[in-house]
Amino acid sequence: MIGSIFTLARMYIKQYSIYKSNYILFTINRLVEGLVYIFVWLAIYNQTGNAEGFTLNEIVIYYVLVIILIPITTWGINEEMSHSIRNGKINKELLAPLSYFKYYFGLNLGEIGFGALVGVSAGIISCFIWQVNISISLVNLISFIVVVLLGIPVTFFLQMIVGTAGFYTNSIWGMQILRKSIVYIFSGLIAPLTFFPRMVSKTNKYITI
Amino acid sequence: MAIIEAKNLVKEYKTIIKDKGILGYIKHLFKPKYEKFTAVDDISFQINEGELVGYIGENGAGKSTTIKMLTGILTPTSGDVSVNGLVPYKSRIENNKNIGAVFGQKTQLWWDLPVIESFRLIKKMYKIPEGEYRKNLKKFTELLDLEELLEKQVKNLSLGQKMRCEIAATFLHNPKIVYLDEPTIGLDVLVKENIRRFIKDINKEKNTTVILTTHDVKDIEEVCDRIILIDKGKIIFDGEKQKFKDNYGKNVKAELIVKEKVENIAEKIKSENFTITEESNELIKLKFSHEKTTIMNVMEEISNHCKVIDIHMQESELEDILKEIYKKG
Repeated sequence: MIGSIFTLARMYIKQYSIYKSNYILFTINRLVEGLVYIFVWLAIYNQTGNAEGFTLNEIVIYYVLVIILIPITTWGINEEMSHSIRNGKINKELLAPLSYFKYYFGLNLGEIGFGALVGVSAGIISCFIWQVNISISLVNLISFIVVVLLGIPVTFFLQMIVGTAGFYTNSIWGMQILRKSIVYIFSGLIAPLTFFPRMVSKTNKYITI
Repeated sequence: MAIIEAKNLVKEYKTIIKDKGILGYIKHLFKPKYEKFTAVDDISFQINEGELVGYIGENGAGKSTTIKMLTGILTPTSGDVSVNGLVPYKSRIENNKNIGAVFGQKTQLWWDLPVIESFRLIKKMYKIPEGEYRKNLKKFTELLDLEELLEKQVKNLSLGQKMRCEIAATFLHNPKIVYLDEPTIGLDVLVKENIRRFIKDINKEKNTTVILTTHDVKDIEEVCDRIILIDKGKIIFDGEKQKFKDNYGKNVKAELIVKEKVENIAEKIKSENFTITEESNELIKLKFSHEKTTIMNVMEEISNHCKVIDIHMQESELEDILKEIYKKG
């Protein structure tokens, strides 16, 4: 069963990476998004010289990490699932010798795997552009990776909730935007959570995002 | 013992009834109306291991709905179904390990990847032993002429090439039962022949049970031993192909080679027992039913207006029988 899941993940990564343009364009997309975030904060720092106690260097490092993490935390299979429900491809998926849930978990892992490749590439390029030096201990690095891995099932469940709405709606676009917005806000991808009102931080204690 | 058993299977759908025009659609938002549609209406049949069954009927007769219930994709509204000792919609994953399916244009091959990658995924998912996989791959490559296709991306294959690969993918894990839903649709004559030969070979070698739904009569003629005919959700015939022809194929076509024929025989002989479909100076084509008359009686009547030199008779073709059945509805 685990073998099938990882094989599906590898197939999905192969499918995405067969076209070089996919990788290049997705990486450029991440870099542009990072640039926008950082330019906004540069403007804030030029005006105020301060942002909730964060130095400019810390904010730039924060957003380099955001660039790496966005594909891992927000990409997923909900759109693919919804399309397959509408175009009937689900008939073939239900004939696979593993559960629908595990089938899509495998595909999701593949999407995240490719996303990690794009994110890390964009992150490394950003480090050169902004001349950022991320010094991190081995323990902190391993902890960071473990936390990211623990987040994968959480994001997958959110993907499943949105994707299976395809059984009831023509289009999941609206729900997808809502899902991404929630993840962006409550996981700190938009801005560090300390910047938000206390209510948001309090709410975040009780949800796993 | 039967490998597939369907008992009093029923599948009903709820369909929307809307009044005409845009107001009808808006009214439906607040006061929706539904009606029940019965796609499969109390059907029962048994299929034994190794049988080649043609499951045929007009468009909308209920063929694909039946197949989806047998594969566990749909749950019956009522009735019982058992495939290989399992209830498909309850033990879907276990059932899937022993079945294969081709659903017309829907493919299990990965669009952007070479064909061989999809085969490797199937090997992993179905846990096909390496030796068995290589043996099947070699055999199918030879039988279906896939040598040049394996390293090509699926999106670059023609329809016929894709279907040959799809068929190979379906049989790769040695399923006990294979459902083929319109596998030859849109394919050229040579590819169809290739696929039919492949199905028969695999059935002979591995005793695979094949249920084939098709509108191509030649598929039934050349592949199937047994026909189940479904119409408006009900089974109207279930038996051997020859018995189907005997039961329904009572019409006979005949060609008479004649001389010294009078003009317009068709006008002169207005018989209830046979119909002249075409006539020329030396040839008369007609059709009649075994139930109403015999060829001797027909020739006796025709001989009054010409000399009959030779006669060729043709029993009803399956296509003609099906046309008649579909017309009657």
